Amino acid sequence: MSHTYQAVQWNPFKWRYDLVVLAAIALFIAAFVVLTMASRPPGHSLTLIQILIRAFGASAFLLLNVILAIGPLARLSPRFTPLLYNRRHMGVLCFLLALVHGGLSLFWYQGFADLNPVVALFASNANYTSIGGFPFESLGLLALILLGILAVSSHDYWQAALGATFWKRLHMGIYIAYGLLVMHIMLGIVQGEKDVIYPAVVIGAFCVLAVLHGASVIVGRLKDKQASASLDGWINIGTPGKIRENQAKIIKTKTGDRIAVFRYDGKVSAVSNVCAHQNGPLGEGRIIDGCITCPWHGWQYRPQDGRSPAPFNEKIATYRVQIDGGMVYVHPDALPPGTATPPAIIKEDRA
Amino acid sequence: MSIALATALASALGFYLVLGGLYGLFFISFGAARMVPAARGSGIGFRLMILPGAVLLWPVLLGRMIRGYPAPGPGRTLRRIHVRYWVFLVPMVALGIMFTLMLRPVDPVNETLPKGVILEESAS
Repeated sequence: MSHTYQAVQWNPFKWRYDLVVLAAIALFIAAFVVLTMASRPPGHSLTLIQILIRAFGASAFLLLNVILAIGPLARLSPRFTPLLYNRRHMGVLCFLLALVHGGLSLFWYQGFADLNPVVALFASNANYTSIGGFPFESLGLLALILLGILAVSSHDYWQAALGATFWKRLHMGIYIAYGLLVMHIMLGIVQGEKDVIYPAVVIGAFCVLAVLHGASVIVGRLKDKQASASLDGWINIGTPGKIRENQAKIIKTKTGDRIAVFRYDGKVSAVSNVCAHQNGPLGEGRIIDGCITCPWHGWQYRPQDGRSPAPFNEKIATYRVQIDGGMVYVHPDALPPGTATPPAIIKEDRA
Repeated sequence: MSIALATALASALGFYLVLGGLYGLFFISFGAARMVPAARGSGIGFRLMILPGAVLLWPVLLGRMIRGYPAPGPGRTLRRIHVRYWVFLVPMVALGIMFTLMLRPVDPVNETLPKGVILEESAS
């Protein structure tokens, strides 16, 4: 949150998270090198540097798959939500792995030319109409540039500077990078290698991601309650008992806005479902220490006024709530961010 | 791609990064806190952390600086755009995979040596 900006806001969870990810990557690269060396017949001409190029490339691609799987997994099951908290570090690591892969490739395949290696990379192959000899390196370079832009703009500062919507659109470039990387592999090593492991891994990973994202969209739509306006424009969302304590029910208004209606301490309050940080789904979070806590990165807001507790100053829109005849009603017109509005009191719970 | 075109492309890339480097130094020194007041008084570690972003995104930042650092619009979920990306990406990638597998050489050969194409071209 925006009290003061630091290079990296470390905490014990982030340290553990990063250490586990780094250890897994190191193990993967070591296993890749050892297994590749062991599976090659004696006298093979594949050098260690070529194996390392493949190991770093494979680790970057698989890590990208993990990164893209975390979002839908967290939407399908809250057990995966903690993985979201530090996903951006994974993204930066993915870029660094891809950078090592690209750097080693440039050194090994173009570094011996008389020309500048970057010029040599662009000029060495122009067979854009060939499948077997397609200059797949250009696809990898484009993906690397995209991953680089995402990595360097991953700090919270950039979201505040560029605006959440622009920042989010920019970071959707990860999907373009993913498509480019799949084709980089399919037109590269898959065309030149007999091993079926490469296409099998790419196809398997892609199928898993496609199924996960499809399932999360379907589940999200099933969860969406298309609110129907009742008398005087207030939306009836049912009895308070339909909302779990310290959790929310998300409703979608006719204008497409999502409202998170929270129940806590015998009261009901409604706020925008959109976190001011990275547009995370606040309604999928919980109330912790009296504050709505975003499931993505833990940003907090008071349910009564949508303001972050001091010393932070983030604000989200609030909505008027009332309980009439045992039913909770929410007015669909958003109040300006940070506007205090009295919570509705659940009389039944106090009896 | 011809060597002349490749050289021009690489030069343009270098030029973009050099301009970005110069603007980035200016930005982290003077612009960062004007764009986001909460960055006022931040340490050198933070400024170095955002330097690569300023180097790569300098045209966007320069545009915002020229427009007087306008406040960003309100955030909103982009779930629908997110879905559209996937609806486009999945069939495109699936088609790409099928196409490349169908046209894959029956007996692929390992590329185990540096290509050396440039060496031949530059020597001729």
